[in-house]
Amino acid sequence: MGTYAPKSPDLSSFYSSGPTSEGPASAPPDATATGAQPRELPSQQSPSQFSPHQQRVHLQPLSSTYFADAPAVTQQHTHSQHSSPSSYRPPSFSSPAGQTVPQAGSGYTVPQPSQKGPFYPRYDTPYKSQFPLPAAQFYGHEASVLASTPAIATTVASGEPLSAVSATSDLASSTMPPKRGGSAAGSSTAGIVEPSPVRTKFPTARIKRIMQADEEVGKVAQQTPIAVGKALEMFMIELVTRSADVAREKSSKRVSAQMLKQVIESDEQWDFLREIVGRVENDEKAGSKAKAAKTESESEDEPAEKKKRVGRKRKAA
Amino acid sequence: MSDHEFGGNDDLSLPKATVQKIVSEILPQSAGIAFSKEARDLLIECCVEFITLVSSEANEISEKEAKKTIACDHITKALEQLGFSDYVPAVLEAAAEHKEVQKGREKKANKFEKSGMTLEELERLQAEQFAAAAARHT
Repeated sequence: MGTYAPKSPDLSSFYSSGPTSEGPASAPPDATATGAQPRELPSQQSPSQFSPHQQRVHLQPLSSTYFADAPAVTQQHTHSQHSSPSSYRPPSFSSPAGQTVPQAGSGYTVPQPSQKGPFYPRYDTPYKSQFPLPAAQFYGHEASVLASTPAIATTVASGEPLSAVSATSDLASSTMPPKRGGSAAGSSTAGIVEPSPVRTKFPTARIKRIMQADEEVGKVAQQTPIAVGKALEMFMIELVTRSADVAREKSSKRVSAQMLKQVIESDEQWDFLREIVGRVENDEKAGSKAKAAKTESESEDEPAEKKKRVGRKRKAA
Repeated sequence: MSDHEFGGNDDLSLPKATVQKIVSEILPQSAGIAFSKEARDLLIECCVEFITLVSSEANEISEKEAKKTIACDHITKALEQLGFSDYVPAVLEAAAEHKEVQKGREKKANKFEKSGMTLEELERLQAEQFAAAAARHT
């Protein structure tokens, strides 16, 4: 127990060396980590005799940080399993600090990649204080659980503010659960109408280009075209299935542009399409009549005509 | 000339083949209903209009929030404001899926860093591998 004292100087020396040796990417986590450490270090050093009670008193306010750190803990567990040097493993898991001190010192002098080092001191102490059971056992259990469910570990870790994952993915993981639950309902409603899953995706680059054709639209986040593409897919499903229903009502096997127009004009939701549909109106009426008289050979000519007309009108508008 | 014109047009339109494929996925052949070419072309125009509408609405929202980049959030808000709130869950799901794929990529990239090995170890391993490679070539 008395041998615990040398541990602290080693730790502090590591903190100062840690951020400098690391790249700029890991600097923000370090900054936050070091912010929390000074609070703990005195608490470790002041009780010269390493008493768990005192530690508990000091560290209970930090219990919230324990939860935030939990993913980091588990990550380190798994890493340490892979790492061969015994010097790194002991300090984190064997709670009787006295036994591990010599090894701990050597372990900390080794520069750790990324935020591992700075993380350790923070979770270590609250960990012990909150779980007075033998740490080795506890660790063994937890590590096996997490090893079997790596997906959980990764999602939790990304939600942690100190991880190297970007802020956007933090948002992602925080908003993901409702998404999943809601999406099931959303897809089911879409599925009722027509159980036809659309597997083809729109090219995101094209969507982005269309979005940015509007001069006012500036930067677009990476997932945005994907979100728009999905919305577009839903939009298409709605339009196509409804116009197919119209075709069925008319006992037609082909959805004509006019039917699509009819669908669009039937609902206020599609107000923004009325202009486009209105432009086509005359063509389509003529086209559908012509189609009624003739067959597909005509329909091959029509699109070309329509395209040209639309093009002209677009320019005029 | 006309080629150029069409090329320019296609740029701000959607690929016909893709749209046709999606339409036939929505309307399987068993349904016995096909989409005429005019209808498809009209649909493409509507799609482009839809994208434009949503992105300009999302742009307004992002500007209100003093954001320079249009994020997923802005799209979902725009959809809600435009009366397409039923699309939102599926959109969020798609975005989340995409994010997860990306996260997986990040994780892979970090695996080297977080291989659990210390720098010394990695250096040793590298030296060993260099030596092995050298031995193979001599």
